[in-house]
Amino acid sequence: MMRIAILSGKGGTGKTSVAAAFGYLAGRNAVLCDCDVDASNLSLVVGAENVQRREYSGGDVAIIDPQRCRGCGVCIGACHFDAIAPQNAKYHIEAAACEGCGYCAFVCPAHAIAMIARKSGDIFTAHSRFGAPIVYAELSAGAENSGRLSTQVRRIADEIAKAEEAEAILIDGPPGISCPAIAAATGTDYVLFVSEPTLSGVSDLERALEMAKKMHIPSGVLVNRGDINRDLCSMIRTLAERSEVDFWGALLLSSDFVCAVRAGRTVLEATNDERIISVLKAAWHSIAVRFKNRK
Amino acid sequence: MSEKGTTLTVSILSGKGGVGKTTVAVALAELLAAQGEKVLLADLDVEEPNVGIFLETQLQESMDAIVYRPRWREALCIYCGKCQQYCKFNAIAALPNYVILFPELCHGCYACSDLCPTSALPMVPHRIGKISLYRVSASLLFLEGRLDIGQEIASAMVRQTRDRAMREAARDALSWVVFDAPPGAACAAREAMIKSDAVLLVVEPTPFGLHDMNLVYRLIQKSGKPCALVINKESPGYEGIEQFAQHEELPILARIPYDPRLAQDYSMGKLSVGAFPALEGALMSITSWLSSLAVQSNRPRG
Repeated sequence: MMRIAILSGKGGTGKTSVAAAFGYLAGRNAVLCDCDVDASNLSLVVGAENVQRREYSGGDVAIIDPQRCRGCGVCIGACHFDAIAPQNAKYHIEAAACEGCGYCAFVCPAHAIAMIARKSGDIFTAHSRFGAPIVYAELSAGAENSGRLSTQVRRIADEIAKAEEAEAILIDGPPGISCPAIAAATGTDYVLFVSEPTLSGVSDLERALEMAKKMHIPSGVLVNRGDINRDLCSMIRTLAERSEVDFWGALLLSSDFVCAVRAGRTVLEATNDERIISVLKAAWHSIAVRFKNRK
Repeated sequence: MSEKGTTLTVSILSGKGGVGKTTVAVALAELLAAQGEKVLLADLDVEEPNVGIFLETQLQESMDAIVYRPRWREALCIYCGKCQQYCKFNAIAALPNYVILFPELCHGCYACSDLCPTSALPMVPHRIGKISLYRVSASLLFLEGRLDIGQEIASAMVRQTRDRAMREAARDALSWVVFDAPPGAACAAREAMIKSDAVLLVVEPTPFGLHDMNLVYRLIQKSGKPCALVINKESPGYEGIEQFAQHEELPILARIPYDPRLAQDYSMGKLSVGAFPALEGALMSITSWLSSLAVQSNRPRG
C-alpha cells in the first residue's frame, strides 16, 4: 500500500483540487485522508456519506476552583503563557491561552487548580461519493495545531486502509512547513507539491522542498495555473530538476476549477478540457504505478 | 487618522490560504503610508512569509527569535524522576541513570526546570527563526517573522513577531499596524489577531473559502473584535458569502473581481494599486471603515 501526500507550502495553490482528482481516479481503492485540520475541504468535493464523528482531545486545560483559590498569585508567577488573570481578588484561567502544561496546578499551595481534558477537535469518518473511505477532522477554533490531530487522522486512515486492503492512502495536507505539514508528510512514500508560478509560490516551494529533503521523502512538483507566468513556470521546472524531484507539468488557469468546487465536484467530473485531464491522469498513474507494490 | 499616541492595529485573516491576504495587507499599508500615516506592516505568516517579495526594503536590524528549552546537566541530576512527572508533553524520559529530552515535544512551560530539586534542567536559548525590521519609506516600516525550516512550533514565532511589532509601534508612535496573518483557524491565526483592534477577513467566493472563513470567524467572534469582509477574486455564480455575511451581520466592505492582470502582477511581486480601480476602491472602503473604528475607539478617551 502506498501513502501519497499532497502538500504545497503556499496556501491556495490547489492541493485539495488535485487530491480530489486523484481520489476520483483511484476510486474505491484508496482511503482519502484530509490532514488540513483547521481548513478541511476535501469532503466538500468528494462528498461524505454516513458520517461518523468522534471527539478528539489533544490535551488538558487548567481550571481554578474559586472556592479554594486564596488569591496568592503563585500560579500567575508560574504560567509562561499569560493564561492566568486576576478576577475579584482571585485568579482565573483564560482557556484559549492555556497550554495545558499543568505547572500552575503543581505549584498552587491551595490545591485549587485541576487539569481537565479539553476537547480540541472532532474526527470524522465517512464514505466519498466514489465509495472510498474518507477521514477528516476539524480542529477546535484557536487550538494549537501541533500535528497531533493530523497524526490521529493518519492513524485512523491507516487502520481503515489495512482493514479494507486499500491500494493507497491519499493525504490532502495543510499549507506551511511546520508541525501540521510535517505530520502530513511523515511516513509517506511520496509527497506531491502543488505550486503556482508566482514569486510567492516559488519562495514557498523552495522552503517546502527543503522540508521534504530533510525528511528524506521522495517528492515531485505539479504546477497549477501555469499560464499566469510562463517564465516562473520554467523556473519551477528548473528548481525541481536542481532539487532532483519529479516535475509533473503544469495545469492551466481555468474557471473549471472554481466551477467544480462550487458544484461540490472534483475537477475531473466538471471539465472537458483535455489539457487538465491529461496532466492529472498522467501524474496520478505514474505515481501510482511506481508505488503500487509497496508493502 | 488616529490621535497622537494611539495606534490602530488591524489583522488580515482568511482561513483558507491563497485568497489574497498578502495582496490586501501590502496594498493597505502602502496606501496608508502614501497618505502620510506612519505605518508598520508585519508578516505573521511565519512559515511562508511573502510580504517582502512585494516591497523594496532596507534592512534596519535582524535578530534571532528564541524560545527556551531545558538542557540536562548530568552532574547535578539525582535521578529522582520528578521532571518526567511534571512534563505533560512527554518531552522527558527520566531513566534510572539517564535523562532523555525531546525538544521538539517541549512547549517551554518551565515546569521541569523550575521544579527540579537540584536545578539540573536549566532552560537554554533555542533559535526558531529570525525577525527582521526593514524600512520601506519614510512612513512605512516592515517587520518579517521567518520560521527556520524544520522548526515545528509556528505560534511562538507568530507571538514574538507580533509583540515586537507592537513594541515598535509604541516606541515610534505609529498610527497603524497591519498584520498579514497565517492561514487556518488554529493557534497561530489566533495569536495573529488577538491583540489587534480590528479584523479584516479576505474571502474567496467558493465553498472552500466560506468553510474556512467560518472556522476562523468563530475565533474572531469569541474575541468580540470588530470584523468586516472583503470578497476577493469575485466571479458571478456563488451567493454563499453574502448569505453568511447577512446571517452574521457582517459588513462586506468591497468586492474585488478576479482580474488576470492583477494575478500576473502578483506573480512578479508587483502591486501597483493605481492600475486596478477595483482594488483601489476596496482600499478606500477599508480605510474609511477602519477610520470610523478609530474615531469610536478614541471617543471615550476624549
